[in-house]
Amino acid sequence: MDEPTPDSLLPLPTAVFHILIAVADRDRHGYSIMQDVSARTADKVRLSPGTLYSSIRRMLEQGLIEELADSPDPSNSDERRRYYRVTRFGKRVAAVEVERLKALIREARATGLAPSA
Amino acid sequence: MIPARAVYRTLLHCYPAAFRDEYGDQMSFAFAEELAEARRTGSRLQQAAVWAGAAADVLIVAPREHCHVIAEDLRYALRMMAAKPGFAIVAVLSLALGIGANTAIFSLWNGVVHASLPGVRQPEQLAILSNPNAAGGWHGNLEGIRDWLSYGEFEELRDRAASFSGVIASQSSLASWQIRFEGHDWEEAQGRLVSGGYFQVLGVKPLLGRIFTAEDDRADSPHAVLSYHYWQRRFGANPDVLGKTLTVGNALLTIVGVTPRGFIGETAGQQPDLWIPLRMQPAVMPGDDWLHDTPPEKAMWLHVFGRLKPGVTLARAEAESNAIFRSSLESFYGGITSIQRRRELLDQRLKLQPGARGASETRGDFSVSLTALLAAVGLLLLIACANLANLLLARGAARRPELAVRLSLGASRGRLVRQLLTESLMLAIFGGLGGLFIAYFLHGALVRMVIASDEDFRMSFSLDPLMLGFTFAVTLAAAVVFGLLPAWQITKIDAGIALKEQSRSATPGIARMRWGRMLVGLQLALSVPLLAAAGLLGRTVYNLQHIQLGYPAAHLLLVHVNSRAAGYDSAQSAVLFRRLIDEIRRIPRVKAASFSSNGVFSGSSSSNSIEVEGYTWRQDRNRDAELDVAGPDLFTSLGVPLLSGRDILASDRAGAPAVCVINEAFANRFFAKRNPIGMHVTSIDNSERTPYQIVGIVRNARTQTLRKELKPEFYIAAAQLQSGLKRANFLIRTNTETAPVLAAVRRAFQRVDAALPIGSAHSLEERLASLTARDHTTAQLGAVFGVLALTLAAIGLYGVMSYSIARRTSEIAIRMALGARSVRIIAMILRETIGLVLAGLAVGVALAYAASRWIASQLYGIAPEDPFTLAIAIGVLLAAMSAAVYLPARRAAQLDPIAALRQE
Repeated sequence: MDEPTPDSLLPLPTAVFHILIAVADRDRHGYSIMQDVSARTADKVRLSPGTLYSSIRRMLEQGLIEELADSPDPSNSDERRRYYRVTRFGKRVAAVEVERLKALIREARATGLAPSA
Repeated sequence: MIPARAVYRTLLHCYPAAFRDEYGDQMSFAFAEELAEARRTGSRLQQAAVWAGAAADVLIVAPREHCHVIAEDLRYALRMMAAKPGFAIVAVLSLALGIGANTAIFSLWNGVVHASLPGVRQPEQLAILSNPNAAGGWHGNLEGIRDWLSYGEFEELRDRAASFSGVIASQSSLASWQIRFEGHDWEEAQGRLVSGGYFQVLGVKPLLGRIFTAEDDRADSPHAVLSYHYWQRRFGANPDVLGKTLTVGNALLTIVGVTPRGFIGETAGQQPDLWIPLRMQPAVMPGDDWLHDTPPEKAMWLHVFGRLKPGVTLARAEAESNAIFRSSLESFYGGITSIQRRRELLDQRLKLQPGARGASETRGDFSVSLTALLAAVGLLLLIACANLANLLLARGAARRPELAVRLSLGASRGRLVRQLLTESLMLAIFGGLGGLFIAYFLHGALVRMVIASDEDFRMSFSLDPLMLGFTFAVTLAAAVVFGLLPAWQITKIDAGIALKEQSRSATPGIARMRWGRMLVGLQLALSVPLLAAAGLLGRTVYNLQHIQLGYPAAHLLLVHVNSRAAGYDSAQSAVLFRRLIDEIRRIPRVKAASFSSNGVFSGSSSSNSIEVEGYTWRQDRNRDAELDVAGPDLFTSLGVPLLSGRDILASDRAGAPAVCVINEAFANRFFAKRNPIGMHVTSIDNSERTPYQIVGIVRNARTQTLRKELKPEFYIAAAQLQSGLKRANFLIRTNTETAPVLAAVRRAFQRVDAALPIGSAHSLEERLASLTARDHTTAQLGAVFGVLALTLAAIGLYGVMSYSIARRTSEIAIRMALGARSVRIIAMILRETIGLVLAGLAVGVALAYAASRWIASQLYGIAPEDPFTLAIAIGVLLAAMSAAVYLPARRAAQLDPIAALRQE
């Protein structure tokens, strides 16, 4: 399959962006992602298992994240857990998305729609 | 309590299997931890939120995942189609042909046989009191179930029947009128005389102006209502048309309204240009008064419809209508004194039928042809599907490695079947779209063919929900029929073995080959009835073309003259016809000419009650014989041989002894071993008895019907008929082609009376061609379908044989290397196929026999189970099959064994 360009994936769906943020600093399994997103947003965004894995399926296909072959946490003996990590492409896409959002905020401020920082 | 995880696992079944297999475990872990966390907080609200999230997932995420899988399948299917465009084109084309033929025939069948009257409100409430399949009229008396009603009978029913909320009448045959709009020339228009309540009872609102009302039944109302179609075509949809006047016959009519688009009236398949109130009949058709009957004769010419009141059954309405009908008969025939005669005359009744589909002259004729054609195209589509299934099976073998890879990568067999079915569905949908396109053109061609035998037939191609539903259902059914079996068979593979197989060719699964062979057998079996039917229809057309009329069909011109409409009374008509004959005989290329009341193949016939000298009627209910009123030298002009005696002559005039000529059937029926010449036939017209002396016997001749048995008929001299002739059919025998003579005949008529309208004029051959047009159509379509079936079956067998031989290359090469000769190889392959072909043919012959009664009514001069035709059909199939097997077999026999084995 052809590699998608970062721009073709924008704007990122909210769930996808949150998942990218969650796996940005360390590799996580599904439930850990759900917890991280909840904690980070003070429970404002809660991912249900269906939404989470539907997004993960798509992100794997798009190459934004990858599944780890082995559990990174040897203390956790539960082998059935699958861990995900952000790819370089995923980071690039996230960066482009951040730039897009910044530009959007700049424009909102320039027209007085949003207060200046 | 059911554990929450078990509930969640059940919910997971709402997701596509592949997704569930991949992420189901992870999802239920996450769910269980989420729920445990919520329980730890002790908040019921939190727990409920977790469940709500799971439910929302099922409603939103699961369908999205299904769409994703379908989209993926479709993308994959499109890629597969693009990768093998040849296969895709063949598949789509053959499906488009099959589906298109089915849709076109169905559309015609739906329009002619099944559809309700368009533009009519609640048509299911309508009942028809006349015979919906008969159009025309009869002057005199009828017995038994009535085809048409008289105006007086209609009035009684309209005023007295309580079962109906309204009763209406219409002229049963579509009239062709010469009309003239103010300031324009005469032109032809098709129309109907209808009763005042016609539009109201049918539930039609005017598009423009007004429609007729009950008032139009009471007074002579010189009005006309135009159809939308005519208003568009003739007046360019100009709203100023209201108030314009037109002349028809002696009537000067004002246009008062236009009907809405789509409304055609009470007869299916006919589009009138305008409607005129019934009360205008005597003015519209000068010379005939069909509104007032003098006992004991009636003009019966109307279709009568009633709209049933809610809750009234057809049976109750029929009982009431018959009671009213009978009392009107009793008062009408009150003056007849003979009890026997009265009883005969009162033996008439009405039969009510559902009127939603309206009247139709063509429906009865066509429904049989169309139903048979629908069955034929259905078979054709099945054959095409069997062919595609075979192609898919063969292609499936080539795709085994690809499928094996997908299986070993974890795809389930169900997933592969789904993928393959999506591909079939894709092909079928393209085929269905192409089919609609083909149906559009086929429909036009079919309608043109129908018009060849019924020139008033009109039907437009419309994509109504029923049609689209039919096409969609056929497409879907086709996809399943040709897709499911191969998908099931192809995916029956063991990934490991299939992958290893890639490196060397091997005999494919026996089961798959068996299925392929069975499909070819099925195609063969289905082709036999189609080919046999094509043969039977072809021979029917041949028989009809070579039918013995009893006189030469070539060089005979038929011209119809209605003298009464042109203002002649009986005495003047007799003079007119004599002068016309004299003028026609003077035309150089005319060999002979005469006329008669009914002419030949004019569509009209008459009969009369008779008594025959020396013959006593036994228990016969019907004491009638066919009758025609003939001009001088009728049989000599027509070319019907005299068996004995003489023709009707110019000397058989009023005042001379009344004479008649009888046909052979008459002589055989009434004068078994006696000599009829000199005996008398007494014609009984009501109480009037006229004896005629028989002066001649002519050979039986077909003058009105090609198919029916010939009846006893007698011919009397026109000059001796007291009431005189109102119209005549001239029969002009020419030395050359008729076309140039016709112009001379028209000029001759002009010389006699410039204002005399010529009703219709054509050669007998043209007339016969239009009478047999439907047979031609059916035979042509039958032939096309037969050839298509044959081609598809041959391609199917060829495909299967080529494929199986290709897979057996090494076996054949070894045999040849061991010394087998080419002939032996070919014989071996033929031997392996012969059983299949014979079995297919045997089933096919059984099918053809079973289907033969369906086609019986379409045939002429040939038995539906005619063994000769069946033998030819089988012979043709055998020849095609032999070619389909021989070509690949010969290719196998020409193998170079060394090269073939090295390649392995």
